[in-house]
Amino acid sequence: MYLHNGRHMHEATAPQEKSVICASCDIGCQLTAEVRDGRVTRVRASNNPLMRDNICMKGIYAPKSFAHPDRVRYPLRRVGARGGGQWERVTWDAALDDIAARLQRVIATHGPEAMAVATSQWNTSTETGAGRRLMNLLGSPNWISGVALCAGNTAAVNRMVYGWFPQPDYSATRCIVLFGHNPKRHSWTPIYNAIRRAQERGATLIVLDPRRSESAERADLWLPLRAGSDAAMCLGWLKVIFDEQLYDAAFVRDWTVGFDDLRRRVDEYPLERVAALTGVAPEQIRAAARLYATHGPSVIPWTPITDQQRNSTSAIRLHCALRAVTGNLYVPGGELFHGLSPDIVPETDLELHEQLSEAQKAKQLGCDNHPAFTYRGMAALTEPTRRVWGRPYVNLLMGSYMANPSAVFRAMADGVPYPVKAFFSLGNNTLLGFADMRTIYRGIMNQDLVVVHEHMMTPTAQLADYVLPGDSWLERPQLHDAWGWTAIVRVSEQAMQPPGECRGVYDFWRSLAVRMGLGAHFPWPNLEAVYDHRVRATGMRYRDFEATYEWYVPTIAYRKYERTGFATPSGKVELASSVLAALGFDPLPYFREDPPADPDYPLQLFMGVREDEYFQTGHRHIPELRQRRPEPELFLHADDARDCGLAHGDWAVVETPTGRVKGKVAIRPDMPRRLVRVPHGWWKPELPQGAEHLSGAWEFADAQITRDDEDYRDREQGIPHLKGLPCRVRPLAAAEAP
Amino acid sequence: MSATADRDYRRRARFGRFAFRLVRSAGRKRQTWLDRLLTRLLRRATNPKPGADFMRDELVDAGIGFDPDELARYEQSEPRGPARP
Repeated sequence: MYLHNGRHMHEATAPQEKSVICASCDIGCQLTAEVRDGRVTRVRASNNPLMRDNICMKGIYAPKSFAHPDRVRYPLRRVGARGGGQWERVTWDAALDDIAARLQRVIATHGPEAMAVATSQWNTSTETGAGRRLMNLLGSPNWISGVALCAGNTAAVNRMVYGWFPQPDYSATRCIVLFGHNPKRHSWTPIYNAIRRAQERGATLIVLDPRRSESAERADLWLPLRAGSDAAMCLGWLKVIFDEQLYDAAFVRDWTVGFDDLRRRVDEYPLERVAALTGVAPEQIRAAARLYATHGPSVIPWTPITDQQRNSTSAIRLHCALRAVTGNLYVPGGELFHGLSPDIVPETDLELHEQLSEAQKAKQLGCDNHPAFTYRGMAALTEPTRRVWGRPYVNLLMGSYMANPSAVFRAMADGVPYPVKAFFSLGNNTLLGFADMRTIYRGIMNQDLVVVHEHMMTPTAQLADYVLPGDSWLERPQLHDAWGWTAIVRVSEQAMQPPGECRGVYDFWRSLAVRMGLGAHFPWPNLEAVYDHRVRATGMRYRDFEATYEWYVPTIAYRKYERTGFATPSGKVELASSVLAALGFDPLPYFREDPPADPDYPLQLFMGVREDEYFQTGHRHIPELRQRRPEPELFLHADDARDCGLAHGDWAVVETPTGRVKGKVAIRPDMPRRLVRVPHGWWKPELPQGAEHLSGAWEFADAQITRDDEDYRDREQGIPHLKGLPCRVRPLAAAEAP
Repeated sequence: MSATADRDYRRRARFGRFAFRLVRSAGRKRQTWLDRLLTRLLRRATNPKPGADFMRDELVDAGIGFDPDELARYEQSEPRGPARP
């Protein structure tokens, strides 16, 4: 390693510089990669003033990550029993031929819906709709992703209220509200940067978080609400805003429906009740609501905390209602609706959702009980979306037409309501990424075909028939519009060649499609040809586009709704949702109180939270990052630790009725009483592989303790409750030592 | 909307459109003289106050990079995890 500003500086000529977009997490920082001798040797922040300083340690150590000696560089085929840990190297052609033949057998036996795909395009980045395209042509609706728990679901619920998912305008806002979100220097870095800049300009920061987080420390107002009570808090804010006439009466009159109904619902939540539900004093609730409503333009940025609660749909809708009634939609400094870039073909158009028959859409797993982000849930928005956004399907943040993940895993494991027998996992360590790891494990073990496309031999990969070597974000070009969340389309240049036989996901899906007899529907032979197609309205080919732009910015309209209305059935902001009413749910947001306390589980979990060093289940193989955080740490209040017979640094076990997980106790002054923070996605790449061990996932993966029953699921989406789940903590017995 | 609020909105909208114009210029690799001028403006507007740069960070400021030969040796070294073919 060298330090740029000091020792061991490489003596060669100046490096070649490439503008790249980091996919080490889901933020997509625009960075500069320095290339020497055909290798990326340094990744640093962009010189562009707009992107200045937006880099974190995960990006800095990316060259080391992708050069790891254990990286999967060649296609591998399972030898022996599934999960037995034995592999043989095969060619791509041999792998693809066999995968296509086996997939055809599964479809012939069980129907196309027996194919399921789990992926995270934040990681794989370059599908350009190819996976969904193939699935839709084959007839499978069963696509799932981590975005079911993170942003994608929020986008779908936002669409039900006002037809799009807005972007906060940090550049001109005067008030920022963070619901548990805690962007830091090395996590969600651009958001941290934008919030700090806004604060420097004088913007007010309100933080609602049970933890005294770094953001809470910097806030003008911190409301330490009870974990999982976001919806109740929002109802309290609306109570203040309605009672004190702090809403935008003209906007409410002209552009909303259901205001009176919502007001009646809100009246059920006087501040004393909200205080009892949230643990925050009425005067604090009142002060925060007033600040938000009167110090605008205000923003409530997306938060991974509200995404992951048993009242998630209601809480997200209440965020939407707050934005709308206070007049913060579509205004500078408020919440902007970018729409899609008018000049770039969006991925959603390439996915061919119209090719999937209504009969197959109706088979999408989970759409019967938990339809919010499924085809069924989004169906009523098809025509409004065509009216406002010019196309019937907009798969915003990939989250609008998903199957329910838990329903897919149950179908894989138990064949109910029908069997899923071919499972593809791309850039998505599925086993550790969703609730109830044991059911996911049973499901994977019950497959006729499991294909994983990955960098490392993850626990999920260890159970595959084929492990295919994936490229990285330094090794491929990319057009990035955050899957429709922004109309600003950014360009990532290919900085180096992929090692070995690593390939991108577009190449994989197209090669499979050709073998399935669908090559005519994939007329673009490679990624660059797809990009040529996507940028053609600019009058350029992709290479020229890449040489001309780092990002491509259309004109953003304010108050577009005055011309087009909102993309909802009523054309207005639906404070009472006609979509949810038609699906059989309460059209108004509500707060479902916790089930009765179980004395066996006296503490509460706070899960799904990332650490600075890692993103989701990745990065534990990078020595420098692992050195900084070698073990999964359980954050506890000192008094809770003492009550459990634990001291700082002790190993402990966290238990729920679903399972248990080990971690090292870290006593933290920022943790409130009774809350236990469990880090997400732990496994140890250096530990033994195979079904029995899964590189430590059986010991450390939090997916084992996530409950997946109706009491702890959001009703409309069917996603698990990760904020406030009952648990207990005990010291690790000597026999359980990791 | 009151006349004052409307004026405030229009002022902010003008600023917002100008901000997007700055962003558009800064995003061009092949810049015209106007793009360069606007990017300079953006740079000046986003410059942190001296001594109050909240983005300074020891790890980032160390400018960590890797020697290409070192990376090649690392890549070809013995696997760190359990043996694979």
